Amino acid sequence: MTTYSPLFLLAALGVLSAAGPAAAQVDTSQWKCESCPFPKGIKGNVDVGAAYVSDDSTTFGNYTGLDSQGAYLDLGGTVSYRGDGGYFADLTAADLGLDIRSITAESGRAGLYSIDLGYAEIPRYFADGARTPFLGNGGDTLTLPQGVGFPAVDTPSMPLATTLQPIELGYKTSRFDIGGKWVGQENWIYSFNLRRDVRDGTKPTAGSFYSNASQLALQVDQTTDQFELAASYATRQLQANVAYQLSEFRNRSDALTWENPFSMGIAGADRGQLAQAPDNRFHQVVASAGYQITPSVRASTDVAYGQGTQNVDYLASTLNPALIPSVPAMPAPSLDGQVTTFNFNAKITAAPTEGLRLHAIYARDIRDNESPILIYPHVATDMFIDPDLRGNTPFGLTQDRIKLGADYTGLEAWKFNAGVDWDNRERSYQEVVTTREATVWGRATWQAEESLALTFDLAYGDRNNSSYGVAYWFGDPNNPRMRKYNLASRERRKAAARADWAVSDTVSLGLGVDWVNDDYSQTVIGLNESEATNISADIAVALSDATHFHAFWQGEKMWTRQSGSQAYAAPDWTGRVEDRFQVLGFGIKHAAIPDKLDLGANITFSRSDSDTSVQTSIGEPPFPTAETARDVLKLYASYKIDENLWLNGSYWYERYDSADWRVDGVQPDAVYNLLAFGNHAPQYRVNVFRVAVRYQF
Amino acid sequence: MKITRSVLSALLFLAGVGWQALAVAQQAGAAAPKLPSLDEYTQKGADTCLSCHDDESPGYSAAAIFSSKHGQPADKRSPFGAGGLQCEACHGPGAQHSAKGSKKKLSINSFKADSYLPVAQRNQACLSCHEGTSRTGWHAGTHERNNLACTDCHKIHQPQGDPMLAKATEAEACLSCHKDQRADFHKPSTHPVRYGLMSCSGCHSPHGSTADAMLVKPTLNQTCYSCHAEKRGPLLWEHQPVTEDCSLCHSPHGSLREAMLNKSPALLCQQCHSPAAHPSVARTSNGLPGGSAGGSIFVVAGSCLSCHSQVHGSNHPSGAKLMR
Repeated sequence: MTTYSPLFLLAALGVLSAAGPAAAQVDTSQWKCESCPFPKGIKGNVDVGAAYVSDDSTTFGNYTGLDSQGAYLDLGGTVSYRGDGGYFADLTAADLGLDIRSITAESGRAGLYSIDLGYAEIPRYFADGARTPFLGNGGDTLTLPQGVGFPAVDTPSMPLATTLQPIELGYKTSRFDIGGKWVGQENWIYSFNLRRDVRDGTKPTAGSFYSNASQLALQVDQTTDQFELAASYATRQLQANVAYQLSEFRNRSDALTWENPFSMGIAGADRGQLAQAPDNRFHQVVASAGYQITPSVRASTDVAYGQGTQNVDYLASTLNPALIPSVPAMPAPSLDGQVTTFNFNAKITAAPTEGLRLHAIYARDIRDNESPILIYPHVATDMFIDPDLRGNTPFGLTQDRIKLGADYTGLEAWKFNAGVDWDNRERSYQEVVTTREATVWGRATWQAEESLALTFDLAYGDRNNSSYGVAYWFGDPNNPRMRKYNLASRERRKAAARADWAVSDTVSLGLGVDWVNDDYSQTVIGLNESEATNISADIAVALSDATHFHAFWQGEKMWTRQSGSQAYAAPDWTGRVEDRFQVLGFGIKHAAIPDKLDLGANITFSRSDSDTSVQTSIGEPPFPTAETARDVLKLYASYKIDENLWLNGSYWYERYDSADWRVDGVQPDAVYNLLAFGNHAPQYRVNVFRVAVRYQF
Repeated sequence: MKITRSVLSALLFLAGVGWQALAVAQQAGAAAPKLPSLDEYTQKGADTCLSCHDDESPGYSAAAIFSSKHGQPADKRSPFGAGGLQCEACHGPGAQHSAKGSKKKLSINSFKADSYLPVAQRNQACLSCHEGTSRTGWHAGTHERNNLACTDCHKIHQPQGDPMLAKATEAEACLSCHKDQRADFHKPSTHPVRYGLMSCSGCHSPHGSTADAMLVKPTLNQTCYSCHAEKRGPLLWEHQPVTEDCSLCHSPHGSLREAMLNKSPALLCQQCHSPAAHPSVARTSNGLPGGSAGGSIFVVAGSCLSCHSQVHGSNHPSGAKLMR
């Protein structure tokens, strides 16, 4: 935001005017604005009501806060104050009775300074119907009931019938925001923003001893702070911004320790420890600028330099007391890790002739991991000491991109866009040092008539790599025929078409189709090919001045094909996954009694199916289809009782059915070497009724 | 002859009437007041505009602007600040538009889709003040190149405020064009955009950015780390694709699978991992509970992640295989 004199505005409007000649300066001394309804004093509204939820469902409670059957308080509202001299204050509160409650506030003096505050909660749930025999869930140490039969050789031998207990897996994110802005002199604005995200709860994870694993509740007790201090400068010709950013992550838990429910027959292998994400910090200085070189040539650039550090003390290599005396000494007490990032881009755009614009962009992104490389002793899942010491591999990436493009609008009904993009990536410690990709693309838009526009897109990309070697950074080497899909040679083809037709003043239609195919023709083992097709259709109808209707449908199909080799040789199995997704939606708004009664409804039906087939020469049957079906009906009404009072009501019905072979039937003891949560694919039917009164003052 | 005389009389009569009508029309035309030019401002500024665009004019009321930051008389940057051109600061000179007999749609920058002004000129009215900070990337950005008007998204005359400035309503405007993403947010595993708890602008910069997909940060990973800072590291044992590009495994707009994964393990992992022994084994349906091979830890629940659960990297000294 910048302060401009009326002369500048005048000049801009001279450009705006279809008549052409620049306007003379205007004498606004008589522009009293006597009829302008500038708000003064305090006004606002308060919503007070209740909601009732018909059934328990943690999945429905995900992001809604309506996870349990029962009544909820529905409380919210807004208050705003406008005073003389530009003093203002705004407060908005919503869903205060739910776990998605939020409050925002802003105050200050218009055009001079402002300060804003915010608070919001987001609930997240996992794994419907999970059960576990572990005790201490939510903490950093999980134990098993003593003296009842743990540990056991396998899950069927475990005393699960008497020890399993339901567990709710989920966490709440509480977000605090504070920010401020000060409008300085001479086109400067200064600002700061501080955000704190606090996560508290649990989420699912797993821990293993060799190939015997247990699903576990991981303690979540984390705080992330983000701070930004910025200054921006803007004139008609030059705009610039410089900022310092800090992001700091803190974890109050450094590890999850769990008691091994499996008897491994190895002395001391009765407790394991998973490292939690360690505290880390990232500083960054960013600067950007835009400059209008001439009326038809503009340049802009962004530069960012960042440094990330992590230096949390290591955990012990093992908790196994039988191995501890034999474990070689650690080379360092902590990583002393450091990553430097550098991001730069420059863009120039020019309009050399009427109807033609040219663009050029160069960008470089670097992630340079400068963490020390040391040789570490390795204890394999607290069971035995690996004879091979392991060195860490701090991965680095340098990406260079060049984009050249042109837009041509010189023909009356046609518009053309075309360009070519190059993307070069150089990686460290990988099978491939460099990948190079070039993409050519084009778009043609035909404005067939005022009410009909057709758009066509085509793109072709070709990615090649320098050469494909073998990386030993992660245990044993891959099959030499393997080509990782982010490193492999690839041809990408894209096509799209779209039609937007305003059939009449009251009816509009939209149709679109997108198709993309990735062909990894040189890959023998790994991802061979993938393809996605998307079709969408929309209609919007103004049935009358008071009634508006819209509907949409979207269908998507995506498949992938990959190959593997059990013999560590030529391919001897294939995997194919085909996903299909459809969503159909309707909405209607109706002003039943103008300025008195508004009614509305939204309905969506979404369906997904996923087929997975993995076949060797034996010809195994495919996996069962994984499916989801969600139907949502939302009705709402708002009735104005008098000038200051509204009665608002809504009804929300949601049905969700799903089947997933990954979890369905996988009881805690279904797999002999996996103590599973035994959760199931979500199913629910929930009705939510809400009634609230809004009082406006 | 009778017929001929009658026809001649009728023609003379019609000619007389026509001549008279033409003369009246010429007189009327001569008497019509001359309209102000298109670059002429009103005499009274907003008071002229509000004489028509008031609360009594449903669909044309401009009153809501006074509840917004554009309508702040104490803000010197506002069109209504001291010396400001009020409504005409954005809509352009309005003398002709407000004059009786003018062609209303052809005499003002209405900012509407049917405006007689091209999109670039309409946008220039906004950019003349809002070109700083995040708008420096607007030029040659994806939205600008696709001829998007500022007012295609922003509605500054609505009583409830500009929907683009509220987390709960922003996505509706974005998804009216981005149909694939609209479908993605209806998938079983998504970020909470359809619940109004997250906005598109949390990750994307709609006014332009030179990062891919107009991301708010220079890279995709930096954008993801804004909320998922626990995955940023650096860690002792890194998982390479995590450090390069989160979208190699995740579909951030939505997926049919938990954690927005592009594909489920074990096939997802086997797209990159093929050492001899267990990583290369075909994990078929025989590994389902009740299958011919019995329930297999490699097939159900977390599959590979049941043991290699530290898939985003580990800082445990014994975590090289992401199992600690």
